[in-house]
Amino acid sequence: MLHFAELHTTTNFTFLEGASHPEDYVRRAKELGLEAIAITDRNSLAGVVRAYAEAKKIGQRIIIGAELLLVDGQNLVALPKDRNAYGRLCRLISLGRQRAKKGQCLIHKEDVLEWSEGIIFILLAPKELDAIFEAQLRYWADALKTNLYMAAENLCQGHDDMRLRRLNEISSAQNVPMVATNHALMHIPQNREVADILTCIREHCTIEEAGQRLQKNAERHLKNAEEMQHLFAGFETAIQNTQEISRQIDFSLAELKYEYPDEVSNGQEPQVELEKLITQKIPFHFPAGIPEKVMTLIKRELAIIKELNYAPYFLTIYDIVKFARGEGILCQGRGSAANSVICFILGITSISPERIDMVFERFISVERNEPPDIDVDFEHERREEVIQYIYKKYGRHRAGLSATVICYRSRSAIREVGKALGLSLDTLSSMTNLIWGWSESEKATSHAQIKAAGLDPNDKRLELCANLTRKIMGYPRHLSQHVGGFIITKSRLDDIVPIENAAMENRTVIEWDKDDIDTLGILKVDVLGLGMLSCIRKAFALLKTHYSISHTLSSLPEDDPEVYEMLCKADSVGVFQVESRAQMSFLPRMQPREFYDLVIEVAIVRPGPIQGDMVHPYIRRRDGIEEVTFPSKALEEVLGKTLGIPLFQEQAMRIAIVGAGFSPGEADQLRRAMATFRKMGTINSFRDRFIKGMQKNGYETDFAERCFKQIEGFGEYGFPESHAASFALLVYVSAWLKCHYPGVFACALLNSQPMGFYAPAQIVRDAQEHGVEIKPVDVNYSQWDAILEAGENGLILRLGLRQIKGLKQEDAEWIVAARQNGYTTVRDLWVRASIRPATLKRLADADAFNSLELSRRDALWQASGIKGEKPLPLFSHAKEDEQALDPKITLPEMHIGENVLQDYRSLRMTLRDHPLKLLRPQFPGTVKAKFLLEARHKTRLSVSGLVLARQRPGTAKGVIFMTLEDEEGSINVIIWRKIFERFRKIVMTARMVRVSGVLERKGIVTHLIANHVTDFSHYLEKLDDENFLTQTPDTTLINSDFHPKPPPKKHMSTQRHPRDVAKSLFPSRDFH
Amino acid sequence: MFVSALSRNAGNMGFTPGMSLADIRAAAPDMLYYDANPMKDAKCLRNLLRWVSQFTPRVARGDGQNLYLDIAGASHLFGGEQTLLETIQNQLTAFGFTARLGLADSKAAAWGFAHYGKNQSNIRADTLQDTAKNLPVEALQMSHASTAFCRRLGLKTIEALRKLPRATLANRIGLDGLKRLDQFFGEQAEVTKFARHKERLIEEQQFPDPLATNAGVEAALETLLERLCQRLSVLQQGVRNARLLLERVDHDTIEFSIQLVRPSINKPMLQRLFSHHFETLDVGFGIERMVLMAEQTAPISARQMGLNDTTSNNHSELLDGLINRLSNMFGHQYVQRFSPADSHIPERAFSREFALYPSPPQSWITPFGKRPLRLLKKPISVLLNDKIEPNMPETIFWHDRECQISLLSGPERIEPDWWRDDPDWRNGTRDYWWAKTDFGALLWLYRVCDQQKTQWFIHGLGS
Repeated sequence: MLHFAELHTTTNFTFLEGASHPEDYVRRAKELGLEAIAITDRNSLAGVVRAYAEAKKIGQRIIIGAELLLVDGQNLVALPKDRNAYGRLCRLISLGRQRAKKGQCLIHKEDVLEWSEGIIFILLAPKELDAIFEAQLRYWADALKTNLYMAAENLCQGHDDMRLRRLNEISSAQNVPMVATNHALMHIPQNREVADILTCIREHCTIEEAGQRLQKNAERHLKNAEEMQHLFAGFETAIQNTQEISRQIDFSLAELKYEYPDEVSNGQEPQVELEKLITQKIPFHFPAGIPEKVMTLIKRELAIIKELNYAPYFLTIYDIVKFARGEGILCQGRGSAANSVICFILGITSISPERIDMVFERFISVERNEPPDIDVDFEHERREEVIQYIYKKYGRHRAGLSATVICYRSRSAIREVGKALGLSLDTLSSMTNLIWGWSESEKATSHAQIKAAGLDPNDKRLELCANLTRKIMGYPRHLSQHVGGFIITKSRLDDIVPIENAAMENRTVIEWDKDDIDTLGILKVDVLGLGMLSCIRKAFALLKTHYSISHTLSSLPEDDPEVYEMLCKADSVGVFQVESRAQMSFLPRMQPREFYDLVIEVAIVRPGPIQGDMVHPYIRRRDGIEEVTFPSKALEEVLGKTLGIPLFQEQAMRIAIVGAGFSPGEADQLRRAMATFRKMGTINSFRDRFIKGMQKNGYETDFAERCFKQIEGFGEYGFPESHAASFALLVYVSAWLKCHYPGVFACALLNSQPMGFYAPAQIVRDAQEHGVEIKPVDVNYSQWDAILEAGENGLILRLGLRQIKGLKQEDAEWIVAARQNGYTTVRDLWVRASIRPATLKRLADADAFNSLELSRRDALWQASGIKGEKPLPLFSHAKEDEQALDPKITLPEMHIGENVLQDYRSLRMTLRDHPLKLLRPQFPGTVKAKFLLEARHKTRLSVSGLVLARQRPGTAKGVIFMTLEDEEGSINVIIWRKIFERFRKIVMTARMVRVSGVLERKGIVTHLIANHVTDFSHYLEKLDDENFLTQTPDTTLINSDFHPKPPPKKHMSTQRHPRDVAKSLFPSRDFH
Repeated sequence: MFVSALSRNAGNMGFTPGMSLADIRAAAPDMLYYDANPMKDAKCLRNLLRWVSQFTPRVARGDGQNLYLDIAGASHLFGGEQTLLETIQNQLTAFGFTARLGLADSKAAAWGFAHYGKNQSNIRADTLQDTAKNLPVEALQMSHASTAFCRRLGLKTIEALRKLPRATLANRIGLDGLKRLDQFFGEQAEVTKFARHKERLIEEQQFPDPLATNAGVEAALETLLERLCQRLSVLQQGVRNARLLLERVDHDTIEFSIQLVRPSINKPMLQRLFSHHFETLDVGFGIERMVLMAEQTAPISARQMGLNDTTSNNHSELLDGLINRLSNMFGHQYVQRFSPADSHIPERAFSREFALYPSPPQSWITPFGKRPLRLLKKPISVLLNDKIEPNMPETIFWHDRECQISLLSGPERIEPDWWRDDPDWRNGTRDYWWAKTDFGALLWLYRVCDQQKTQWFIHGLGS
């Protein structure tokens, strides 16, 4: 019996070509009993770590390699024999990739020779076995000697026998041994459809047009030794050679040794340096002397760090944070290792050890030798400075961003599959809307749904499209850069993994993503951007300017009751984390009164605890309705702080350890198994072990199952306590600012956009409700950013020119710079600030000439009278020229509806009346938001409003949460699945709706449970129709046409569906 | 798919052109819809244009679905302007069209009233100023930007625009905008390109002495062809379709038509193609009138003669001649040729087309495996000996005859197209082999396997 090793496989990390996951290949190889399987993606090593992880798990031997496609079209499989040869292959690919644009690779044959030492090459034979091929073979044979082989395939193409004989002749003539492969494209033949669809996507053609570019048959799959023997009868040496090659190779990814960079320790031993730093900094944080308890903690932490040799890691992070502090960039650390006294003393975090318990060694356990995890958040606007600092300090060959594998998700998959199957664009967009939030669990699309989208449910193509879409969901499409995960090494990084250019200028990215890095135990520093930090820094700066108060993250007064009072009322628009709909409805129930309550608040409203049904029990216990009990003494220690309910990620892990008898390593494996590849079935084995373990230790099955369910949720979304604590600090700081200085807070928020849950319109409105006076954008008063200016009753918030759609910052800065004592005419801006007429019109549209006593239309009239991009030099000083002598004319005044609509068009908000106030007479029988505050539980009522947001949390089983806004406030609407199915289209696309339903009240939290939803989007367009606004409503026909008949014919290209108009003016934020 | 036009009822329901069909169907599932056919619409408008030319010779097509009639001096023939409008309206309505009419002294005003005024407005010069007051600015057909600009300024009617000082207005809506305004009020002329009647490529001849013999007809045809080809060569056009009408003294009309694969003014060839039909010609008591019409013409490109490939050029010309002859002899639908198609499936790797109407030439893609010269339309099942040999049959039954075969090469494995349900391929994967029979024929065989049995079919013959 011969053994066979497949040495040429193309996984789906050869994007849009390979039709199976690397893991699938490995598992299939194991099933087939292959001696080894090589993972050889084209000019890439992106998929190898996944294969390696799987191989390690199931015990299959794999070979790491790559297929090299050279610039001249030659194709070689490269299989490094040892660690050094692997390094050379990485360097070779990095070289080719950094020469080319993102995603491409330029390798010449000379490059291959330069880096070829220790690598086995298999030359692929072209379609025609001509003299050119023989010459190429000779070239490589001369250069590579015994490391060269030649690939031979038998893929049922019709004349394979002849071809094999010919190859064999060439092989013996040139003395290059032949190797049997399948040039595998898929792990099983059933994936041919996927391969074909990917081909169509890659070639931008439909399946009908693809013709011979498709696979003729499904032979390019993995085969076992027996089948190979049958196919290569008479050429058995080709099969033996696979074995020979496989035995020559002695390299595994396990050999990659990670070493920390060492320049951060000033030439000292890192541990010594770290201890020195700590000693130096203690007096700064504890001027009154360090408490005994803290000192013990420091000593214990230092001991662990020493034992695990993590000092360089802490020093590396300290160095980055020090840089940021020096540049005045606000930052804060979080992550498993961040909640240590050491991080506090080094200034990485701002939560003092007195505030919460430090739980350091829970994360860094001695037995799991894996890197500690500290993520550092920086102001989002200034993170790039930090990134460039790291590149500069360590060099691009030693530092690189980790990659993110962008995979097909339901939307992208359906679009591309549909296109390939030749579905028309409008069918596709209807399909896409239909599968909005198609989750793993909700896969079936019913006939009724298809029909509701206006499609034919009997169309076979739609079904095919849906099936294939499901198949390619999760397939990688391209590599992108991770938001901020840096890999820094002591020696060359491109010796470990290929580095390529990112799409963004000045960025280089490695080919592996964060899971891959985790698998190999490589250190990653997360340099993340956080909008709230920008906002807080700006708010602190405003406080200093206008109130002469200096604050830092850690200097605010602690546990201010007013702040908590505000949060208890769910008055939290703009406040970090707790501003979402879910958080807002939870705040009044949670009633946070101290800092640790905020930590819990942040952690509890997460998919993990919600899915695990931990929220209600916690609240009941907190309110004293339910007794606080612990399932056991051992778990009391774990769950004591959270009243016996596991809320944090590490608590769930601890239950697995303490309760179910997992080792810490196993618990972590469990978490990872949850996070990636839920579908692979490994979870079930953990599940059984977990439940059995719990039962064995005397816990109830019900409790065990709930715990397990929660761990499942945590895998992806859970917060560790330390994360929650770091975030809670930002919650507190932002809430404090909002509570005491609402104007400052709103101003800072506006200047940090885009960020957070709410658009400027809602931020402004909320500020107004808190008594902040807001002034409109004005060329004579506004800066680019919003500012605070002195008014009669204190500070007034003046909107910035940044609110104007399409206005460039540069223009705004010119307007401010050339303002002097103010502009008196529109022409002034043109003459003095060189503002182009097109921009002047934008300013006019934004109603920014109020201080000149010019209405929108007057300003537009003046702006449009200006001809020429710039004033001619001759006239620039002349007071009057021909154009300035424009006669004064009277234009019709805009009525309020037109003004409001134009406000939205130009500023996406209005300081005038809310559109709903104007339209209200048209909606008889609907109540306003404030009415809901008074109305009794279970009242039937109708509301109408702009759709601010719609959410379909995966945890809520098809329920849609819709947030509406009317002239008095926002309204939460819950749409149950059944109602949603009926009004699916409206619910998903309307911009303004009328909802009838039943009011649910819990304390001050109200929800409207929808019974009926009507699309009112078309009313928005009618805002500029004065006659319409004043007429009495037509209650009979909602869809009737209000135009005098016949409707005026417009130009075709300008005609859009009213909803599209509304969509651009009143966008909603949709999440799923 | 997007809506390009809709009925009045659909419009009344709030739908507008430009909406996506799926949106409409979601809202009104029972709505009827048809594919738009711009070609057909254009043709219809051309026909209408011809139809309205009964009222005045000066007719023109505008953008979109607009027709212009210059009725100066013509209206009194139809009972005055108002009656004319009503006549046109009534007749168009009777045809099933929805039409809106406007009559004014300027083309721009007529357009404006037709689109935005009362239907059948008849605006006299002295009332134009007054009646135009409340028309929306859109009625001026200014550029899109100018119209939008007027709207933004709240200048919604023509009157509002007209009130403004001209000089300042010119600065804003441009000279083009002013021009439209002037054209509307007839203060500036607007050029209209009226339809010119196309030169009709018809030659005819009356015979005082009716032609009584085929030879006479032939001779007369030669003259007609001579004259037609003369005119065509000036126009650089060649005949694609031509029709010949022969009117007999008993008022019976005999009709012949010919079609050519490539436009041509080759007289002998055209003559030959017609004379072929004359075999069946019955002149009866004689032909008194002959009409020759070039029904479809196309530009003739003077073809470059290659320096050394005169043969191949000649070859293609000869082939064209053959196609012309055969197609006209048997009918064009009976003369077909193969053209390449891109597919792994052998039956789909080519398509048939009418030789007379060739598509642009494509090259044949050579598939990886060898294909037979003759492909059988329906594969022939060949019964093997009783014993089932899944791999290498040695004997097959073909045409009730047992023959020995030896397999030459294979298999070439071809899988069915998974995205379509092709009845012929329901048996699944085919393995194709080349084999030679004991009497020398080359066969292209395939094998399909299912769980129980293996079947073999002959699909093609080689040489």
